[in-house]
Amino acid sequence: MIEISIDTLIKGIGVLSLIIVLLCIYIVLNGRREKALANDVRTYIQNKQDLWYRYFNDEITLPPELIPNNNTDIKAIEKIFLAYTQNISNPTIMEKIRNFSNQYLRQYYLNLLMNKRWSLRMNALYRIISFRIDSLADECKKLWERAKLSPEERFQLLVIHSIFDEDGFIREFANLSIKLSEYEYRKLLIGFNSEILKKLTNQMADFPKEYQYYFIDVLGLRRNLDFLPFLENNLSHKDPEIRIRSLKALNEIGIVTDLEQYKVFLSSPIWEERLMLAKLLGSFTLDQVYPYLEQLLQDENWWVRSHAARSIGNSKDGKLWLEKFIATAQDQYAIDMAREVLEEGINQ
Amino acid sequence: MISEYSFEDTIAEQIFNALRTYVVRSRTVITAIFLGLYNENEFDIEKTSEAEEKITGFLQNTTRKSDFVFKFAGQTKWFIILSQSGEREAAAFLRRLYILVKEKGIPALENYEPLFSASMAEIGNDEGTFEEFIANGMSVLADSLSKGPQQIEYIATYKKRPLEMIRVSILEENAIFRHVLYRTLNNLDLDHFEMEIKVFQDGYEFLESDWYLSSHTHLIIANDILPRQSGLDVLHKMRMLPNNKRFIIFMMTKGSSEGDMIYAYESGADNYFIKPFNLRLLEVEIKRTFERLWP
Amino acid sequence: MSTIANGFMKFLGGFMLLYMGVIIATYTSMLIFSFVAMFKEHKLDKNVLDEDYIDSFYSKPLSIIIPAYNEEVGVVDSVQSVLNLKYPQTELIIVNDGSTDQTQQIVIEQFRMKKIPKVVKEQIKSKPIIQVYQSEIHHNLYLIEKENGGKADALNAGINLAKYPYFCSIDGDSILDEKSLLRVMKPIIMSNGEVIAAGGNVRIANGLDVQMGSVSQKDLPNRPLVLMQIIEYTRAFMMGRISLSKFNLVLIISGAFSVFAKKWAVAVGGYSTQTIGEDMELVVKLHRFLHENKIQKRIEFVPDPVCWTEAPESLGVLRKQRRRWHQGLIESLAKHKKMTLNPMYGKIGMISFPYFWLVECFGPLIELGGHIYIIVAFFLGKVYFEFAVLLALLFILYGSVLSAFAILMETWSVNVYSGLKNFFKLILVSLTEAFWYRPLTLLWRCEAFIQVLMGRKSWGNMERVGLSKRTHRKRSDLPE
Repeated sequence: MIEISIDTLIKGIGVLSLIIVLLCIYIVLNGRREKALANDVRTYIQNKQDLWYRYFNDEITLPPELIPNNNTDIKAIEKIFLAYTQNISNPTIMEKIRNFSNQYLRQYYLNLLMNKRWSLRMNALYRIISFRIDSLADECKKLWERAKLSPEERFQLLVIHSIFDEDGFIREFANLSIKLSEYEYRKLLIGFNSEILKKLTNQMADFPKEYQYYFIDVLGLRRNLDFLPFLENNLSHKDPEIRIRSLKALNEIGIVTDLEQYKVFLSSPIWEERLMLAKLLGSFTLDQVYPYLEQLLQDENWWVRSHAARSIGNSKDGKLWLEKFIATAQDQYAIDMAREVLEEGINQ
Repeated sequence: MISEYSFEDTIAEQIFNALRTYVVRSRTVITAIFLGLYNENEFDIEKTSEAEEKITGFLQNTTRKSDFVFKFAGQTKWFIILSQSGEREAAAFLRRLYILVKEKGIPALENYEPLFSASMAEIGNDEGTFEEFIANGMSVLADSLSKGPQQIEYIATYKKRPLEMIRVSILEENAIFRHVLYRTLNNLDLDHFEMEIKVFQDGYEFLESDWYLSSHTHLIIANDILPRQSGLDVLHKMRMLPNNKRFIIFMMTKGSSEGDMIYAYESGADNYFIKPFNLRLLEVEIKRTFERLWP
Repeated sequence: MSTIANGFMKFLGGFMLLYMGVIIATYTSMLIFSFVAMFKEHKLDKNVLDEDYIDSFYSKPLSIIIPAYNEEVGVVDSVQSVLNLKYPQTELIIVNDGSTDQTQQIVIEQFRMKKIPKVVKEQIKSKPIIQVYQSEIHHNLYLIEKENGGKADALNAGINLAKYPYFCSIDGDSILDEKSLLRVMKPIIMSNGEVIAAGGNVRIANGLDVQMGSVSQKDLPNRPLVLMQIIEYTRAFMMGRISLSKFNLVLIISGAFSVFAKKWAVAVGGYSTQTIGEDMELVVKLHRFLHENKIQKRIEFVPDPVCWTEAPESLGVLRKQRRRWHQGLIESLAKHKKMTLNPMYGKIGMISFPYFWLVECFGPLIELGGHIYIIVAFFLGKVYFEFAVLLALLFILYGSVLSAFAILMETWSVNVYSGLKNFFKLILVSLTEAFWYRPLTLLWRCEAFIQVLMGRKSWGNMERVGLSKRTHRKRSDLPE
């Protein structure tokens, strides 16, 4: 029994060693091939990037040399297009890229879309988005109907849908069965212009609450004044998370209209609300809001105290107010905080 | 060439040449005025030098402390250098002078209403010798005087500013975009400047070269994050060099955090572009920045 | 020989064979799992996601903590490499844990640090902080000067100062790739808060060209000891970590480069100063906390990002290091032994723990026993001779062949050590592992048991040689 085992083992190790050798050869050859390919791509880029530049800058019409003859050309063109779309924002160039891709790259990406390998399909989806290849919009719609799609592909298809058919997308958005993560949601929303976002504010109440949270975050990042009414309205929402995020978004927009609506947060039991208030009050002059900031400076929560002190310190004449406070106050924690902010300001 | 003109104050030539060098170095303009009297014959011959002295004194009072008044020797003509003014300002000055003299006359010079005429040259370069310049100015002054009182004749010969050589460095990791930036800048046409452009793939390559060590005005366009030594690092190092004002630094970035932008500006960046950005914007900003260098 | 001894030897032999069989089966399946996972992502253009994270809109801000104890040789390069990183919104906190060399002075001078009056909120207990400094050049760079308390204590102090929701710890002599942070934060960003910790791949930098905190040319050194460690690391990451991560069974995220969500780290009391393997201890504590509170979170491992670190070049230092690691492993497992085979702790308790106990922890003892058995059986005669050969073959299979496969996989997928010469160097050396390196490391790890029994503890003062100073500085062509 043992003998058989030894025999089999030795044979096994021999076979495995052979496999290793074969794999070595494969990897080496593969490496060579890929290096050669990379070289060809580099050569193409070196030879033709100047032509592309002139074509994109309207110096020449599309020269026949730029039309791809093989996949290597296409890979090189892909790199060039990516360099342009990622670094340059220019509608004329984008339009040229779109037209060129629709005309000459459509088949290539269609093949990739249908490829067995997930990674290649994903790459195709990425490019359809980057180059705005709308001639493949219908194929993408068909793909969506497929049952066996990975969540990553689904999301990319959603993005494609939102780009090529904005209105249709918004209509279906509310009924979307799949759940999006925060990142995915943000990525979708960030592409929408303010008009669309405004339309969505009307539907927001029907959306699941996580979506509402992310939506508010996106509004804050957009910094558009049009959203002020919506956000200010949220301040009296029953969900504290919505209130907090709306406060945060308002803080980021940086314009505050009416002081009265914020006063209620002074006595809020939720420290995050008092924190956001401390930050927001930094947008008013100290003549208007110092008493409130002073109250927050003596808050029981460290973060609230910290931001209240900072809001005071960063305002006009803030240093004087802080010094006065240190001289007359009783609360030791608050005094320490005020002192820290004061010294920080001096050191800057 | 022996000049037929000379000054009572022999330092005139030295001052003039010094100011001309300064003009090119700090990209300012000065204007020289040749002033003569249309009605100089009305003087009492005995009293001529006295009158000339009074007029010289008057002119010195009317001009700024940074301006110079020289009287030609043996002629009732003056050479004035306005070291802080261009053509238009100088012309305005002259007109004010003419009116002032007409209404109020020259103090202590009664019974005489001087009628001036002048030729003027805005100076933007330092070509030509001093003698040539004076000869030119005087000749045009003669023209001016022949046309009548209170005339101004302009000399345009010395106005043209020399083409300044500036260096440009592009620090960008992506080879294709690097090329795009190079071409874009190469195509840029700046009025008084000529660009010599070099590209680098990261901060380390840039700093290892000595491209930035000259005293030329130097435009750096850099991405904030680069493989070895970031653009921010380069920004800091450039701003710590002596004579760092010659560096104009434009930063590019992929991320869009406001904090980063503020930090870059605080560290001495002159402009900040968030990718993807419109190249036209870059072009316009560069043009604007350089046009500002010459008033 | 008496029948009892006979039977005993046979039993032992059988046990060894069985054990080796199980181990090989386990590792082979891990290898296959890893391969499948990597194959799926192989051709994916990862730059697309990288471009997204770099936009601060998507990414999460990160506090980077570098604990330093007598790191005067490598600390500047390490900090420089972090400052060079592609990631929006970071703050960098160097914690000087009572160094007795010039670490603090060098940092203060190089980065123009000034004292700041910072009130640090103590969320985790740590040794007293003496002073906090901030750099004038880089406003997000801080230095904490504190009393010596060990690496875990230093990290905790850093966590206390950190203001962002995520923190990451890097050893004082480690260097990151410019995309490292992006890649390691990927599972956290994409997961919608489900992933609360992530670890990255650690590579060995000895003999590599390190310039301005960026590793460029990758020509491998010739020293077998270093090469062997490279292979070992590769194998551990390629096989072990990747597949464990897929099933959320990860127990060790390397301390050299890992990210944690601050909230959860604080909830479990931060790093333990009582154990040696503080990174593993934190991960185990997290898993424990999550299960005890019925919270569903994940801890993942990413093979892409690269952290370069300095490996010991001498046997003596390597021995200390391996002993220390194993000691940490034993201590952590022992401390939480009630999780073993405890259904309350889900897969961690039922799969991870038994695996780590049996294969990682006691494995060395059994293997060492196996080696001794081979030598003994060799001399004892016929039947045992065959046992010995069989066992030896299994060891070769396990040690050398699997390692070679791991190298193959690494070259095919990530290909950090590019170039034909490097590839063959690694393959050839990997085939020799079973004959010298493995027995040595086994010995050292068994020594750890003695250490544990004798109650010894130390932070391990590895002599830092410093990467840039030693390697020959040359200008290299950057890969495109």
